[in-house]
Amino acid sequence: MSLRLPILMLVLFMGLQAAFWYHTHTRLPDMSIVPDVPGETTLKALSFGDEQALFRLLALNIQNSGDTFGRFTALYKYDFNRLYHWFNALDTLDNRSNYIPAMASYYFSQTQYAPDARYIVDYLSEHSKDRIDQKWWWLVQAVYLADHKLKDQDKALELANHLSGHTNIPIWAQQMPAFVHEKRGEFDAAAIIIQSIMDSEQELPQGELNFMQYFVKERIDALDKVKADFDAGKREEELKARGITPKLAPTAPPSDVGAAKAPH
Amino acid sequence: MFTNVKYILLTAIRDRLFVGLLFGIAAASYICGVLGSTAMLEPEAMTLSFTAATSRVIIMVGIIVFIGFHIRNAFDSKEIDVLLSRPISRATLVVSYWLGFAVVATILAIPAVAIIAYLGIINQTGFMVWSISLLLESWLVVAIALFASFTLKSGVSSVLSSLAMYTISRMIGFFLATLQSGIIFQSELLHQSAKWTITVISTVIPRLDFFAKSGWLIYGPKSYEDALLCVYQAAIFIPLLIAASVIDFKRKQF
Repeated sequence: MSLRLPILMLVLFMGLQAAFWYHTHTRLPDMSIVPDVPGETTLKALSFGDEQALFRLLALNIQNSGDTFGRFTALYKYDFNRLYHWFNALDTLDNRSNYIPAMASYYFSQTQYAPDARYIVDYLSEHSKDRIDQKWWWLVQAVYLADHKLKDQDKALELANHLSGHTNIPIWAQQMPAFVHEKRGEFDAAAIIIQSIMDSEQELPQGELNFMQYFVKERIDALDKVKADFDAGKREEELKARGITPKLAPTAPPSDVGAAKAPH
Repeated sequence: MFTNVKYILLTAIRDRLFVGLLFGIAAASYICGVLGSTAMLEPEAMTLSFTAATSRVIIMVGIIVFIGFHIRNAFDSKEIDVLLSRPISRATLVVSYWLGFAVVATILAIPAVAIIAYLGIINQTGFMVWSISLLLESWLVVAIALFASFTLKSGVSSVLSSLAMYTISRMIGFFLATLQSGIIFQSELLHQSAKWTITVISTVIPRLDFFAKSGWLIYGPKSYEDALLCVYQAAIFIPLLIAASVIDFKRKQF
């Protein structure tokens, strides 16, 4: 048999392969940072009856997402909306594990684009607020992130309020709403929360009791000072209204002591 | 009967089934250990879960392939004819085959359980339940593969059908859940037909999703019922498949 036909076919198909390459060399595999989120039904089907194994596999996949194929991706480039849905989807496979909340609060929360931390705060809150006794740590992380990363003290207070009244968690965690109130300048609310923890029937170590007594006393003193200032101001207003100029104590040094004068 | 069991063990050793699968399980466990160690939290749970799942798959696929080709070879080389020429009933022969392969499956499950124990037991009860359910699952898979091998005329088709049966058995819980929760088709007629079909199929498919859940190794079984379901399922389905194999084998003409 002559070799002409096979050689002709070889050349022809090499040419076709070259044409095929030309049309397909720009079609690359999907290298998105955060993969698409599968539905809950898909996850259940893919688990083949072993949800734990699939949970661990996908969790590891999310941990490494963006840092595969020789890439290292800055966190601000991640799609946090997708991550939020991934976290919730993985919670449907195993919501007892601390793997996902740990990854969310210790790793993904370090994003350079602070507003994305809201997704993390929302996830941590949804993951933990209905089972505070087991998951209080993640709610504390959510409070911290809302307060320090998002600078959203309303959100921080809303989340911290979930921690109050749970006597099976550390006392400092129960005190979180007080610290947020304190930061907002609401000393009375902070003092009331600390006082309510002191009045609860849980056993408190002496060190904690000392701290809380000091905290309440300091806030009451601060409130008394504010009240005294307010009363003084009110009295001054009344005197002014009656045409009496109150004799104020001097605030500047005497004129004959050679001290520098304040600029006008 | 026990001669056949010994013969199956000998063929398993001859085919290097134990060495091959042990190597596979050990290699998979090592890879799982490496993967698990990269987890930022709970690396032990990660390693255990991966090792348990991969070991289970390796054992079940190994059993299915071994049985599929062993039985086909026994038919082709007239081994079955020789065995039947002795004073042994067909029913006893099928039972002895199941017993022999179940011993092989037990020997295969031991290294997987040992590796899990070596990696670290997180939940004692969960480990016990997982180990027993792995053994029961392997015995049930032996019955599935045996039934397929006796009823189908090709080694490849019996292996493929056993694998398909195993996969469907692992997913049947999901199919039933889909029936409960959603609308499959817009057309009411199609929807009802699909529901009816899946319901009928589910009655003759074992619920393998009740077996060897790697979550047990970490958290333990949710309840006694959760753990006992696999025992009940194995106790019902293994005799059922052996009986079906015996009926088919008795009707076979040589």
